[in-house]
Amino acid sequence: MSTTEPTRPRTLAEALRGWGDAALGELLRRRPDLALPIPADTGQLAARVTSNASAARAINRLDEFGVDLLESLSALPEPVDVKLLSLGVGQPEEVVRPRVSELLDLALVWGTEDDLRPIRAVHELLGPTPAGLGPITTRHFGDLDQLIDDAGPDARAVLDKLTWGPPTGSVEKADRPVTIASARTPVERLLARGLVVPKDANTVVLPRQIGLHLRGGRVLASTRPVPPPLDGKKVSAAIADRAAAGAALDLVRLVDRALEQLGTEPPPVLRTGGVGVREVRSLAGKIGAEEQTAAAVLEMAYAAGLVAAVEVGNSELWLPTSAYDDWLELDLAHRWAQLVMAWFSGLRAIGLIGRRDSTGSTAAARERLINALAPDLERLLAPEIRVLALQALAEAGAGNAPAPETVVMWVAWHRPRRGGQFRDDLVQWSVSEAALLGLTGLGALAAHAKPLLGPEPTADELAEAISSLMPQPVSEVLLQADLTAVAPGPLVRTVQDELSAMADVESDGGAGVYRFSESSVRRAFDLGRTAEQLHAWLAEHSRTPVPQPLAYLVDDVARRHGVLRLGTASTYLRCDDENVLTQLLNSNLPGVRFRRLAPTVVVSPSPPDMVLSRLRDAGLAPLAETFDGALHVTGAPRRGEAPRRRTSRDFNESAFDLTDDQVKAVIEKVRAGDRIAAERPDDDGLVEPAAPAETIAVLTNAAEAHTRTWIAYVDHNGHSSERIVEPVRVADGWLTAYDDTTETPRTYALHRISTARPVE
Amino acid sequence: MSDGPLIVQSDKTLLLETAHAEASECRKAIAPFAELERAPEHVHTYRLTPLGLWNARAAGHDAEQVIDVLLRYSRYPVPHSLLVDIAETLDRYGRLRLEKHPQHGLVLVTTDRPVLEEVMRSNKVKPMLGARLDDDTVLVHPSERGHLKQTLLKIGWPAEDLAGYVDGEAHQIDLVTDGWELRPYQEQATDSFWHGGSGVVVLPCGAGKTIVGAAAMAQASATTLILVTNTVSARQWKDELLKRTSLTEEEIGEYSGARKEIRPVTIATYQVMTTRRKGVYTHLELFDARDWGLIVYDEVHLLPAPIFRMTADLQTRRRLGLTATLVREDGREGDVFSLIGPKRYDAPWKDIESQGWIAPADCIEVRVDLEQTERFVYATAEPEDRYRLAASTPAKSKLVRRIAEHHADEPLLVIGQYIDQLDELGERLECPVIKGETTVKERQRLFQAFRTGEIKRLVVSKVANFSIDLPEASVAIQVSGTFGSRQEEAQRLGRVLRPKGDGRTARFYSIVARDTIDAEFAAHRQRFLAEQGYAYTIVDAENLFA
Repeated sequence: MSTTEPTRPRTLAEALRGWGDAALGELLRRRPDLALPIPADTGQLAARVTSNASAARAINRLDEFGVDLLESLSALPEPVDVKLLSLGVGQPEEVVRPRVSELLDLALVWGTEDDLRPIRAVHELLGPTPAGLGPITTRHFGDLDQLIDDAGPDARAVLDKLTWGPPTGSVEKADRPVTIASARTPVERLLARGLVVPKDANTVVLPRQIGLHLRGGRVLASTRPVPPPLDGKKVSAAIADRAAAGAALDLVRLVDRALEQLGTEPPPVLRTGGVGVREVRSLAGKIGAEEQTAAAVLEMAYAAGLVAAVEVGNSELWLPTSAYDDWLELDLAHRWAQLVMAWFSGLRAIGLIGRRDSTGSTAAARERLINALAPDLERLLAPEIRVLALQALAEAGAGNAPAPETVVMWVAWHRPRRGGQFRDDLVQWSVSEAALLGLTGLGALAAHAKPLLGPEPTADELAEAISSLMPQPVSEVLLQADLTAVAPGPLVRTVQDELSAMADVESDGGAGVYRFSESSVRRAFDLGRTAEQLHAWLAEHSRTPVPQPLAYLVDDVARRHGVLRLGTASTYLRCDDENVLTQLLNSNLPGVRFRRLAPTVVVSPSPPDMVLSRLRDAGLAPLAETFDGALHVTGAPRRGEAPRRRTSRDFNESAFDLTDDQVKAVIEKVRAGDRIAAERPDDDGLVEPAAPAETIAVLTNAAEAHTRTWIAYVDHNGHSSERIVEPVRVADGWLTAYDDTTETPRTYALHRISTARPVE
Repeated sequence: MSDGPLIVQSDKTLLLETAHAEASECRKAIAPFAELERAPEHVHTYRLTPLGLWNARAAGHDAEQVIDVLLRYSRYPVPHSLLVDIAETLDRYGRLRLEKHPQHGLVLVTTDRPVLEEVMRSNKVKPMLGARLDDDTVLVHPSERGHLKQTLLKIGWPAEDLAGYVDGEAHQIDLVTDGWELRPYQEQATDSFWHGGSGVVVLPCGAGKTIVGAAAMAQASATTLILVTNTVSARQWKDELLKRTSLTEEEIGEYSGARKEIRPVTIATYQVMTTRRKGVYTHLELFDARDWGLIVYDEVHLLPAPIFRMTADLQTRRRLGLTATLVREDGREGDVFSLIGPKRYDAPWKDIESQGWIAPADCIEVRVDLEQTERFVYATAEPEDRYRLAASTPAKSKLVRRIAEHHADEPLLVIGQYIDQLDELGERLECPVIKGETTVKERQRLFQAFRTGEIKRLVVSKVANFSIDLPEASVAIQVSGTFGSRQEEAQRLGRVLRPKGDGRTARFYSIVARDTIDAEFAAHRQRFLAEQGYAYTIVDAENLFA
C-alpha cells in the first residue's frame, strides 16, 4: 500500500489481513460504506478504509473526545504511544486506552499502543495545523527551556501569545536574516534561535515542537471524555407519561381532522410543490391548532403516506390517500404508532418550513420561504440527529426533563463534526416534534417512546407500549336535556358513524360532545332513518334514559320531514282532462314508464324526444313546453395513491445497515479474494494473456489431476476478474469447474479465459 | 389508567361526569379556575379561559395546583400543549404589580424585566406611565390606575393591584340578626371579598346577594355608594338594608330620577348616573360627593359602559360587584375583571339549590298551534312582524287561563313583552297588570299585596325583569320575551326560584307557538335552562295536564 510508510507493520492491508472475523465484522458494521460494493480482497478494503471519503464518514460519526484523540494523534510527532497521547489530551491513560482501541478497531488509526499512526486521510481531514499547532521543524534544539530563557522575558511574552494558537503572527519582513548577535527586537531574538520561523514575508509561525513544549506536552487545553450533563427539571415519570399520551391522542385527532378537511377542500399543489401558507393558515383555524402545528401535522401525515399530490383534471391537489382509509380502521394506538414510525425514519426537516431556503439553486429560490409539503425539505442529517436527540432524552432517565439547550450540547458532543448550527436546529426541532408526537411529556421521554431506540423498532411494539394509556373505545353515550350527547371516550366506529349522522360534533378530544339540532336530525332522516329507528338507536346506545326534549325533537322533525317531496323526472305531461291521462297510463307505451303524480300530471324518466315520438306513434299530438332543470351529482370522496416516502434506510448513513448475514458474506468474499491474491502467480498483478492452446492444455491437465488452478477471466460485460477454480472437465469450448469463491460448479467460456496457471 | 370523573377536551373544555363517585370532590377542586358553562343532568361542562385562570391566580392558586388537579381527576391523558398553555397563562398574572411606593406613590413593579420593557413600549400603555424609578419600577399617574389595568389586561399582562385602598369616611354599620343569620355561603362570599380587597361575588338569583352586600358594608363600616339597575330595585335595597342592618331611614339616601339625596349610604341607579346633558354626565359629582369607603355594583353583568369609565377613576375605593352570572352579552367580562376586580366567590346554582336555599324548578314548554287563518297571516307577514304575531296569538291566552286554573291556589306571575297581550291577559285572569306606565308607588303597593298573599295573580311586563323581589311566586308563565336573551331567562327564572314554605317545586311555563320564529327562540331558552340543569319538558297544549 502506498499510504503507509515502510516500517513495521509493513502495510495497513497486512495488518487488516491479520484481523479475526469478529474484528473485521465489527469494522464493516461500523463503517458499512466499506462493504459497498463488496471489496475484492483486503488490499481493496484497505484502500477504501484509507480513502478520504470513507474516513470522513467515520470521523463525522465520532464523538468529541474521539475527534480530540485523533487531532492529538495527528498533531503529535511520531512515534506516539498511549502515554504521550494521554498527556496530550490531559486525561488519565485508563480513560484514553479504551477509546484508542476503538479508533484502532475503526481502522482510523493503526499500529500498536506503542506506535499509534493515524491513517493519512486523518491528517488531511484535520488540516495542516491540528489543535492550532504549527508545522514540524527538522531543527534540533537541545535544552528548550534554556533557549527560551535566553531570548528574554519580552520574547517569552510573544511566545505565550502564540502558544494556544493560532500559531502565526504578522511581522514585517519576517524572512530577514537575523543572528543571535544581530537580534534586537523580541521577535528577532526568537527568529534567531529558531523558536519561531518565517512562514512567508509577513508571517512567522511557532514550530510544533516549541508549541508542544510550551503547552507542557498538552495538545488540547481541555477535553471532555464524557458527554456534557443533561440538566433540567425533575418531573413525575407517571405524569409525564400521561401528558405524553395526551399529546399523542391529540396528534392523532389533529391528523384525522386535518385530513377530513383536506378531503372536503383539497388545497392545490403549488407550482414549486408544497402547500400554500394561506391554505395552511386556514387549515390551522379549522382544526383548532397553531399554524406551525398544522404544518407539522400535514408533514407527519405526508410522511406516513396519508396525503399525496394527486392530479385532478389539469391541476394537482393535495388529497388524502387510500392509506388514510386503512389508517382509520386502526385503533388509536396503532394510528399513533404509524405516524411516529414514519416521522422517525423520515428525511424531512419539518422545522425548515417558513424559513428561507439557503440551499436553493437560484437567488429567487433562496429568497423564497419553504412551504409545508415542499419537495426541498429532505435532509440526510435529519434522521441521524433525531435518533440522537431521543437518545439524549433517554439518557436523562425517566422523569427527567433535560433543558433543550443541554440536549443540543449533548448531541453536539456526540457529533461535533456534523452540521454545526443546522445540527443544533435539528435537535431543537426534534425535541419539539417529539413533544407534539407525544414521545415526551413535560419534556421527559415517555416510557412508550423507548421501543424506538431498540435495534429494530416496529409500529406494533410502539402501539403495544402506549395502548394502556390510550382511552378504550366506548359504545354508549350520555344523552342530556340540552340536546347534547357526550361520548365519554372514543366511540366505536359504527356508533360514531351513526351518531355523526344525527348530531353535530361540538367538541372533541378524549371524549366527544355531539349536539342534536333540527338540521342534524333532519340529516338523519334524509339518510333514510325513520323516527322509530332513531328512538330505538338512542335508547339502545344511551346509558341514561332518553331525555324528553330530545325525543320530542325527533318526533317534531319527523312530523315535518317529507311534507314536501322532491324527485327527478325527465318529462312531464299535464292535461286538464284526467281521462286522457288515465287512458295513456293504461296504454302501456313501450319504453315509457309513466307515473301519475296528481290527477292531471304524469311524469316519465324517459327523455322528452323519446316520449314525444312514442306519443305521436300512439296518435296523440302533445305540445312541448320548455323547462329548466339541473341534476346535481356528487361523486364519491376522492383518494389518491401515495408514492413511497424515502427514509433513512434508502441511504447508507445508518450504522446498523448491515445484517449479520451480509457481514458474513462480505468477510467470506474478502477472505477468498485474499487467497486468490496470495496465490496469484504475478505479484505485480499484471498478467500477460497466454496463448489459447497453452491455456487449454493447462486446464485439461488440471482437470485430470484435480489440481486447483488460477484463472483470469473476462465476463461478457468486459469485467475482468481472477478466480481459483478446480477444473472438472474441458469440452466444447467450455470449462466446467468448482469455483473457489462460490463452491458450486459452473461453466466458463474458454475464449474468455485469458490465462490459467496451476496452483500448488 | 385512572377512572377519574373529568375529561379534558382539546378545546379547553372540561367535562365532569356528575354520577361519578368523585364528582363533587372534583367539582370543588376545579371550581376556582374553570368557568361552569353548562350544567345539564349528566355531564357538566367547564371551560378554561385566561380570565378564569387569572381569577384563580388572584385567589392564590398556582399553575402546579391547577395542573395537578387536572391530572388527578382526568380520566384520559391530558394533552401536553394544554398543560403548557395553562402554565403560561397563569404565569402572566402578577408579573406586573401595582403598588404603593412610600415616596413616589403609585408605581408599576415587575418581577420580570422583559415584560416591563414590552409593556412600556406599547403605545397604549406609554402615556399612562411616568418616570422610570429603577430597572423594575416605573411611576404610574394615579388617575390612570384603572385604565392601566384595563389596557394591561387587553395586551395579556394583567396586573395584580396591591396598591391598597383608602378607608373612606367611617360610618358604623352593623348587621341586625334577629330571627335570621348569614347563610354559610353568604359568609364565605363576604370573607372572600373582604380579603381580596375588591372583586365580584357570583350567586344565583334568590340566593341573597343583597345580604352579602349588607354584610360587606358592615365589614367596611364606612360610607357606601350602591349602584343598582333601576328605581324599584333601589327601593328594595333600601327595605332590605333597613331590615338587616342598624341603618335607619335617615342614613340611607336615594339618588334617582325622582330624588337626589346624598346620605352616608346612597343608592343610585345606573340610569341616573348615565344621564347626559349636552354630552356631559351631569351626575358624576356623586362619586366625589363623599369620601366613599365602599362601592357596591348590583347586577355587574348589566353594568353599562359609562359606569365602567367612571369606575376606572375609582380604583382607590373598595369595590364589590354582585351578579348571578359573569357572562355579559356584550363580552366585556375583561372590564369587570380589571376594573371591579377578580371573581372572589362563585357557587353553582345547583349546589345552592340542593342545599335547600332556593327552590328547585320545573321548566315546561307548552306548544300551541296557530289557527288556520293565523297561519296564513303569519306566512304572509313581514319578517319584523312575525315574532309579535306568533308571540301574541289568542291561543296563548286561552292556555294561560287553563294553567292559572290548574294552579288556582298558588301565587302566579304572567310575564310578557306586548302590552296589548298583557292587558288582555289581565282581563281574562281578573288581575292587575304592572307595566311601564304604572307608578313606582302603585308597583310597590301591588308587590306588597302579592307578597302578603292579598292578590294571587299578577301580570307583569319587562319592567319586572330586573331585581324585584317576589318571595312567594311559585308559578311563572312566560308568554313572550325579548328574543331569547340568556340574561333575561335567568332573571325570569329567578322570579320563581324563591324558597317556598312547603318545599313545593316551582314551575316555569313558557308558551310557544309551534312552527314559528317563537319556537326558534324557545330553542335557545330550552338550551339555556337545560344547561343550567333544570328539568325541562316540552308538551303539546292538548296534552298539558292530561
